[in-house]
This record gives sequence, C-alpha cells and structure tokens, in this order.
Amino acid sequence: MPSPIVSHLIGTTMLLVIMLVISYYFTNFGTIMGVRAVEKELNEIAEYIASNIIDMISLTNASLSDTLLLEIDFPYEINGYGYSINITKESNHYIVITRIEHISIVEGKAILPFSSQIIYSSLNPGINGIEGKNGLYSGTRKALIWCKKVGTEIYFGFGVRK
Amino acid sequence: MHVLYEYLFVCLIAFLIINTSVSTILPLIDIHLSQTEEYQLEKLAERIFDKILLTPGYPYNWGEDIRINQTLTEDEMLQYLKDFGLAKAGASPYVLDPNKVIRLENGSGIDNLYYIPPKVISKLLGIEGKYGFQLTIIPALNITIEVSGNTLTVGVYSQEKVPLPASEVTVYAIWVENKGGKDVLNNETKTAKTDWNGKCTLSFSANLESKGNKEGASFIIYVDFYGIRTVYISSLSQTILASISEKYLAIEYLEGTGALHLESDPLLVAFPNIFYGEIINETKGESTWVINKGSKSYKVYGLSSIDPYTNYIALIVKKGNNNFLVIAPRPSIVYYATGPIAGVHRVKLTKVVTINDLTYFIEFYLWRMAE
Repeated sequence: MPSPIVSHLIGTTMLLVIMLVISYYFTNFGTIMGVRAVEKELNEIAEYIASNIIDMISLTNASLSDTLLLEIDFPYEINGYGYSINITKESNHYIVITRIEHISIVEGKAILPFSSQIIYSSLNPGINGIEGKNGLYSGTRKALIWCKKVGTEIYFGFGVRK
Repeated sequence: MHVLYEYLFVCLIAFLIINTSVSTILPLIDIHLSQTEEYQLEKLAERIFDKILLTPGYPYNWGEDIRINQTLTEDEMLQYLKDFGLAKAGASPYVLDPNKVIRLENGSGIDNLYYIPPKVISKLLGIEGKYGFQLTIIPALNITIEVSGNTLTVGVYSQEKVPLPASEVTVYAIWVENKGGKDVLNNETKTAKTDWNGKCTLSFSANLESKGNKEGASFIIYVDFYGIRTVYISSLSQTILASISEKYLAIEYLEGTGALHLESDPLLVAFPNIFYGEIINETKGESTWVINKGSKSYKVYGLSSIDPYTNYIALIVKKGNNNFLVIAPRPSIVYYATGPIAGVHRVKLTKVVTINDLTYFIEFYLWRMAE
C-alpha cells in the first residue's frame, strides 16, 4: 500500500480532474443546448416568414389586385443577439434562412414549397412608399413582404415602408 | 478503511450523482425541444396544404395536359409540370380543378394513364426524401342505398355516421329496357327529403332490382344538405369495368369469354344534363367497337371532349344477344400518398373544398422521414 500522503495526492488529483471534466462537460452541454434552443427559435421565425409568404402568394393568385403588402412583426433579438432574414435558392426551391453570426453561425430554415413562376426579387418593387430590401435584419421597423403579379409570374420580396 | 478507498468511493458517488442528474435533466430539455419541432412540422404542413389548395400550379391548366402521362419518367414529367397546386385557376379559394384532382387517382380498377406519382409532387414541393405525405379526398356526405323491387331507400349521413334529416335527395335512375325488340336506355328522376333518421324511399316504374341483376341499372344520387352537396353513383352487379382519365375511356371485361361490342357512342352524364360523347378513332371499322380483342381484355377509347362537370359516362355493351349497361364514374374518393403514414410525429389537417360544385373533405398528413 502507498503512504497516506501519496493516497491523498492521488485522490485529490482525481477529484480535481473529475470536477474539471464535469465543468467542461456542463459548459459544452449548456452551449449545445443553447445553440439548439436558438436554432429552434430561428426556425420558428423562418417558418413564420415562410407561412406569410405562402399566404401572400395564395392571396395574389386569387386576388384581383396585382400588388399585395403585408407588414410583419418579428422579435428584435434572440438571446440578446441580432439576426438576419434572407431568401436563398437550394435545388430549385426557395428557402427562408434566419441567421445569427456570432461565435458560431446558427441558422434556421423553412422551405417555400413552390418551384416556378414565383420569383424572389431583391430589387425595388416599384410600389409607391415601399423600399425593396435584399433581406431583413432584426429590429427593422415597418418591415413588410410584398407580392406583385406580372403576367403569369408572381414576384415577392422584402421591403420597408418609407 | 484506507484513505485511497475513501477517495475512490467519493469519486464513485460524485460520478453517480452527476450521471443521474444529467440523465434526468436531458430528457426534460429534449421534450421541450421536440415539442417545438412538432409545432414547426405543423407550420410546414399548413404551408404545404395551403400551397396545394390555394394555388393552381404551373401551367395553370396542367390537369388538361395529356403530355404528362405514365409513359414519361418522373424527371420527364417535371419538364411539363413545373409547379404543383390543385386550385382551379381564376376560381374562388378552395375550389379545386377536377382535371387536376383526377391525376392523383389510381385506384378505380384500371390504371390511370395520366396518373402523376407522389414522388414527382414531393420533388415539386421540395420535400422529397425529407417528409412523407398523404392526401385523401372524400365526399362530405356519406350516402347508402338499398334496392328492393322498384323502390330505392337512400340514407344520408355525415362522415361521422350522424343521420342528416331534411336533406334534399334527387335520384336519377338509368337502366336498359327492351322496347319493340330493341334495347334502349331508359331513365327516371325522383326527388324526396330525408326523414329524422336520415332516410327516404323513392319508387320507380321499373323493377330495378331485377334489372340490376341482369342488364344493369345505375343510380346517380344528388344530395343537398343545406348547401353541402354530394353526388353518389352506384351500379348494380357489373362485370364490365370502365374508367375515365381526362378524355380517355378505358373499358375492361373482368369475367368470362366471348367478344364484347360497344354498341353506340357513350352518354356523358353531368347531372342533371346528359350529352352524347363522340368516340374519335382513326378507324371506324368493326375492330374499333370490339372491346376484348385477342389476348387483350380491355380497350382505351379517345373521346372528342368531356365536360369537366361530367359525373359519369354510361355505355351500352353487347355480348351475344344481351345488352349491358356499363358505368364509368369519375372518382369520388382519392387516396394519394408517398407511402404508409410513418414517423413518431405526424400532423393531420382537414379542410372543406369544392370540386365540380360538390363538397368534399380533404385530409392531409405530413410526417418526417427521419426524426
């Protein structure tokens, strides 16, 4: 058997190692869970934006009016971080992407289930009192989604009321 | 006890406490996150369902495009069908195009030549491989019939089997009758209102029960329950099947041998109107009118046009000296799915839609292929 001093030394070291491992594990666990929770919130915002876009497109299809506007409200921060809302194209489908770029990039996504004749435009829609935006940022005031029917095509995009 | 064992014991206890608390906390957090995921699946389902019901797809009249058919591969179909939606172009919300709905039907006995596989639709909706879906279209009212002699008893119920009193029932009966040595199609229309039990009885001039057992008899039953309208088509004892796909009529003989002859151009019944349909064929010779020639038990006929409101097509088919009435109904129930419903979380949405001025329930299920 080793002497009591050596035993104390080994025991204390083991306890310290365990404490360190635990604190490292919990920090990582907390970070991962935090990221997952933020990701869910970003997903939820992306879903909200995507649902509004689909509603707008459905209404534009059925409406006699060529232009429709919908003001949207979304949280101005998630866990203290600002985020961006954009639309990209992935394998022939548009996707709403909400993104926080901080220590790591956290994203939320929502698919727009249409394939053609419905086109995202980052340009100015040419609607009085509306300024077109290529994406939105949290905290943007008077943000809106616009939809415009031109012939057989429907254009949509983001904008702000001037 | 030696001090080393004490330390080891302390470490073990600490490890157990931490392990237990982590395994307790983890599912609690995970439940919250998976609930959020479930909610997000519901949002996605709502979005896809709205897209299907409220947009016409592209081309707007893709339901009439016969270039999209079973001879094409899935990728080739996507060259013609660019976007999926069942709404009737230019119509009110939740009014569906019957020519589009019929493209989803493939279960009426004979293969639908213009059926579009669910995989193509999944691709168009951008959910292929990630989500599965099922779309079911059923009439809003559940109708039952009982034929006895020259009377017909009609029962009108909700889909939950609740009797619907005061429903206005109109029955259009059609049967083959021999007049002056010649078989002709005869018809009669009767109306009634259902009683407290959701039933009504109508009497006809002919014994439809015996007609049904021999030459064939059919009923088209139109029910209006305070604006909720359903048409129910019933044919008695048929061994000759017929189905309609767009402008094409397929006829198949299920039992027995012997040549079957199509006796005349078909009757198109768009209740309450009846039109004569014209069969367009390159050759109008005898072979055109023989349904089951050689090894083939069926034949497909092209018609000049079919009114989109057509409820069914009636034909007279001759075998030997006997004439038979054959009914080709447009499908009233559509079941369309990427596969059997799966997944731990699934979302079900229901809406009421109108097709051909009739009321239908449409159910939509969405689930994740991988959780």
